[in-house]
Amino acid sequence: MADETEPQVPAQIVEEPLDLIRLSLDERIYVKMRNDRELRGRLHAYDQHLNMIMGDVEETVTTVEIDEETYEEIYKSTKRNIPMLFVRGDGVILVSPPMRTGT
Amino acid sequence: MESARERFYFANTMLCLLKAIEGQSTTVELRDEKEVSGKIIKVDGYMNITMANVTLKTRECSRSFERFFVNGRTVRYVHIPDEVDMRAAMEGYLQRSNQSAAAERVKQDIKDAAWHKMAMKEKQREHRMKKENK
Repeated sequence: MADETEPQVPAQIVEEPLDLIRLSLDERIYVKMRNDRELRGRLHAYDQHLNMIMGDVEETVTTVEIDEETYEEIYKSTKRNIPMLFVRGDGVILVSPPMRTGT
Repeated sequence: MESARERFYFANTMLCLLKAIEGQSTTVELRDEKEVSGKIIKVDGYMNITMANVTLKTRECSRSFERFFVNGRTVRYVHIPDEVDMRAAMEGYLQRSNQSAAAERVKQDIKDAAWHKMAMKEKQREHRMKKENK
């Protein structure tokens, strides 16, 4: 009798990859986007297309220029902050917890 | 009126949020680095957005339009105005659409009932006619 307690069903069941993103809800995340864009911000909501609503977003756009004399590639990153953003899912490449460097 | 597919998207994806900010002024960023700022008139189930009093900003210049249509597939970001309470907006929108769907159903039920009643009456009349003819 004593040990017949059923194993606790976890409140959040992970059945498909997208369920893992649910674990990041209301946490800061890092999103890599097409066209050399990166977003860091708090994930408020998402759906199956990876449309997302993020708050306190910092967007980093990386551009490459070629030095006319040395032909070296110069990477320039431009940052800007957006308080609340709806992101269309088709531009998303990956979603992850923020990387320790550069956050 | 939207198609069933569009209604499905509104109910099941984050589109309901964009629907909830219809009528507000905001900025939509497009994939080709253009920015469209203006008032959102309508959002459909494919994220196509109709806007009014728009300023279109490219890197080089900016132009104004009275009406502007954005194809949903070209959208990269939509800025959400500060004053929008997203949870309330989405819940409000979904509730309204549920209510209108419920109202539609009730209307349909009333119509069905009326039609049924008419059919019954017709049947009874035919029945009576047959009896009389005999």
